[in-house]
Amino acid sequence: MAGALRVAALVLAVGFAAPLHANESAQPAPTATAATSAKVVLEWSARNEEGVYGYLVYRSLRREGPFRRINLEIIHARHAPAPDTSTYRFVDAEVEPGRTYYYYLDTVSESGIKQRLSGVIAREVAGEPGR
Amino acid sequence: MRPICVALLLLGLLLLPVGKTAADERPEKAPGVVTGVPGSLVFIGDPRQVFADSYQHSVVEHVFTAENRGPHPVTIEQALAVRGSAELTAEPAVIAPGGQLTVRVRQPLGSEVGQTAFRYALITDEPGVSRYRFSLSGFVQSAYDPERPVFSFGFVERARGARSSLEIFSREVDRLELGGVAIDHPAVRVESSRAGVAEEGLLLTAILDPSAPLGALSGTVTLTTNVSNQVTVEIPWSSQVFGDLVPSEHPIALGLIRVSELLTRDITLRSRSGRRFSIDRIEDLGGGVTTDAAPCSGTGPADCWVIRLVVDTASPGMLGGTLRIVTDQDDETLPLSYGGIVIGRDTTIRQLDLGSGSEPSAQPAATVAAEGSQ
Repeated sequence: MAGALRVAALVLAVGFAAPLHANESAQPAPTATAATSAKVVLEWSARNEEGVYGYLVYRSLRREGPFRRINLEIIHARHAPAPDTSTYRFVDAEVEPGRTYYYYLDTVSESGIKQRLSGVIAREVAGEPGR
Repeated sequence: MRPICVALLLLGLLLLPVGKTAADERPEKAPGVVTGVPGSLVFIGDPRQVFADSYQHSVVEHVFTAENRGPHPVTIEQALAVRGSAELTAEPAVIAPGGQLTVRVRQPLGSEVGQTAFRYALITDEPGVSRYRFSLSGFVQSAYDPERPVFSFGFVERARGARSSLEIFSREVDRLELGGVAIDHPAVRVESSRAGVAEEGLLLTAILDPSAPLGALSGTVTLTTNVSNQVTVEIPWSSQVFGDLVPSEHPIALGLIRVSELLTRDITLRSRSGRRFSIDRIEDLGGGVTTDAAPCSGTGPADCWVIRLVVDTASPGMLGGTLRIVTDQDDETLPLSYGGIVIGRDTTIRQLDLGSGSEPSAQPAATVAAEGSQ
């Protein structure tokens, strides 16, 4: 059930070329070409997903919101058998260099109820605005 | 789950307003019996289909195909929704041997939310053949927070009216805008204002007018918004409106009753103001109970009366109705709803652990009355 869901890790990565690992993304090397493919990568893993149907990702330009859902399709829970964890990766390509974005995750249960899964996490996309 | 909770749960289901009637009221060809006689129609592909994640109030469409692999023509007598309402079109009406049948299903999802399944059946002219069953299942999401908004007025003193407020948001638009509000009762109206840190949501206040009639009232407020994925939000509302005379319990939950077992239930009707009154008569609009009334103490007018309900049923089924309590007070004729489930003398009650849900309070273990010998 969502109440017992454990998020093993929630990582935000910022990158300019895919694929990126979280620990490689801290110092992206922006280039004029790469700036057009700026992205924020969200990775998380979860165990004990009983009752969880999927995940929703929200983004805002302000920490306090308002937030807007950015995954059009529900990210379906994979229900890895214990003790394994299910890992997830979501790429937000609708970002601009030089701006800070705020994200959080919801679970959506099999009965259709959304529940907050993570706190708000901030990520600044390196680079110069407007490039 | 404790039996009392189960009874309340079942009774609650009984007393819910029925918005849509099941489309399938036709009995089985052999009632309650699956004959096992093989039919000639064979579904091409799985008769249990899954639809893609959808939003509330959208319409899912699917085409099922079956083939007549028997030696005789098969006539489709009926294609129907077993649960809920749907539009089914079966063509052709007569399928020649080797011919194909196409069943088009248009399934409105309504206010369903979460994993859900819709079941359908085909009835043919084949002697002794049970219905052909097929289904559509999938996940229905709400574009709103909360997913199941409710206006609950609770027990209302009529002269005061009541208000019930909720905040509603959609994370699928920058700013939730209200396009229209439709309310199915003249005693209810809705006011709206902005809510949220950036005023992205709405604060809705439903107002029950003091002119509302006595008794249990319920209905639906339907919103139209600017959320393109789901422009409609249905918000159920309910109230228990009483004037000076207030029942000790309402609706009256009779719970599970066994056939031929005599059940009595006493309800107290008391005057808030302490005014003395008399019960002139009690009319049972459901026909399921007999009633009697007497002052709580003494004889004649009193500020408190006991109404006794006696249930003596001969056959299993749902029991429900309304008592009209006619008093000597102007404008104090009370409608009181009652409900229960009559089960067979030997029907077994078994505990079902529905397991874990994402919302523990929403999916507790439940007790059900099992169909069985009587």
